[in-house]
Amino acid sequence: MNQKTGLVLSAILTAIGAIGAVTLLIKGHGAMGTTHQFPWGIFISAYVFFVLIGSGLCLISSLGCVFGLEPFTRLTRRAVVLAMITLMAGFLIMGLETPQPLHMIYMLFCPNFSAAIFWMGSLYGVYLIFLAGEFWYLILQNNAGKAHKFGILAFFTALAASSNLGAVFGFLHARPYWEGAYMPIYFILTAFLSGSAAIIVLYYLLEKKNGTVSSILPVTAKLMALLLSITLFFTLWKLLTGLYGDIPGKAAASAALLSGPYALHFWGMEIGVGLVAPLFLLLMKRSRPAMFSAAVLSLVGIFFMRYNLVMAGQIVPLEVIDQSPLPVSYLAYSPSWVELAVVCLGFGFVGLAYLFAEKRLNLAPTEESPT
Amino acid sequence: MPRYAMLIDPAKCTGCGACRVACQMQWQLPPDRFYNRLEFREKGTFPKVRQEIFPVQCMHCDNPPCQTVCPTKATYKTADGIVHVNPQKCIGCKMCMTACPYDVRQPNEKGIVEKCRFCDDYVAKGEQPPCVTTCMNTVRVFGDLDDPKSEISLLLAEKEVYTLLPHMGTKPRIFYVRK
Repeated sequence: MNQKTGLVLSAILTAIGAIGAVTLLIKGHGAMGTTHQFPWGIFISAYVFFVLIGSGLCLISSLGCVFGLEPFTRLTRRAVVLAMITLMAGFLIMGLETPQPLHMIYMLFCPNFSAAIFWMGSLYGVYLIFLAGEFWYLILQNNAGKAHKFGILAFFTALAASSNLGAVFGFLHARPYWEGAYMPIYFILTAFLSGSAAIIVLYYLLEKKNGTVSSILPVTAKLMALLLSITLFFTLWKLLTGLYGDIPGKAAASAALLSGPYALHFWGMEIGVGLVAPLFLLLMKRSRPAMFSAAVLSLVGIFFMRYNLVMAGQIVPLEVIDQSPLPVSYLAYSPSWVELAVVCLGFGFVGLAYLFAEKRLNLAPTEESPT
Repeated sequence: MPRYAMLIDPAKCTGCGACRVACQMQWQLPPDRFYNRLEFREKGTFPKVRQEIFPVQCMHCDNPPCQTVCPTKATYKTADGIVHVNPQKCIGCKMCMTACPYDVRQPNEKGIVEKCRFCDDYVAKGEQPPCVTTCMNTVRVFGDLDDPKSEISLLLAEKEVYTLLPHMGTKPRIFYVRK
């Protein structure tokens, strides 16, 4: 894909998204497919998808800028810029998901320190500020020393923010599928995976365009293969522990993924496309196009991973009358065209903003030269 | 300061739905929004079957998970035991909806996540919530737990009661009479 194609595609996605966003603002949240029993929809999935890519990019770049590992030192500039952009895409979607975004000011005036969403929002806000500091000193001021300090701060904040995003789900005792310490750890792991996949896609396209070859791609691909393997086991153990013992609420949610309404999304997209196929490509074929294909497939699968996670936690109706529970049934949710359009806006924004940054800023490390 | 609570006797409920309609009239809610509902359960095997009806609404928990997860403290509990929502602070994130195990919160047309307020304005004037007064079988009894002579205190002392989902640790302020 050349730059012009990327620009056109991003512009189309942004235009579709703008129509969706305007419709949402005019019609209100009735234009969404969510219900009072199914309160969170694809916006939450997309938010998690984008902000965890943003966290993961920082974690990957930290291997270079914080821990000094080669060849990751060479990708810090681009990773920082893309992390800021994906974070902003997530915030954009969350801003549209939230019907009263201006009321967020009360998070400053009367914060609820017991709310995981308060910590998640605050940490992602602080994370963006640290990334902006790193961006300022690294790209605009060429001050590697101060950029390194901001990089360290961003690294720890990225870990804290992504794990707190997991805690937003993990703290919900009313939702047995989400509840527990698994979510914060899983979110850090899959943030790392998302970040490595995004780096491979980015550097494959860049190196193809510039005619350069670096060791970034093969080294990140090896890291990604390791992360895919671990994530595969995390996912399967989550499924098995969910099913084991037929725990009310949890087992039915896991069964929805195993053989229920989300089986195709789970086995086909999350496991097949997102984890197994990329792992196969990375282990069996070591070519750069195979690495790129694996990363693209993985990102597609990770989007479904986020979608499945948000859906599975809500698909089982809450059983309020515990003395006489109802037979297991599933709640239905389908994203409306408005929601899908707004998700397109996120992707379009990332494309346009990154292409703009690539054109206007010096994102190449000084030692990079065309071959 | 009173300590409000409600006692519900599901065995008396006919399932007429007047409580829901009275609440909707009180708060001018559209037909698809409601702050109380009836849950129907079938029990037994043919030919000995029966239907049980459980009125469900905000439990005004003493340990409300909706309050714990609210990032702006829009959901708060007052000393009288009522869990309130401040619409000026609610961002509409719907965390409270996912945290509430009783599934009793619903967003209004502005995205503010509303719920039963025990009709605090009425109660402050010494009146009873409409879901209580409209019921032909006196399924609900509302009152002050700190007043030992209140009807609810006397009934709680007399009857065997339970709360919904006690293992969740929410400590509901709505009690159900055991059959």
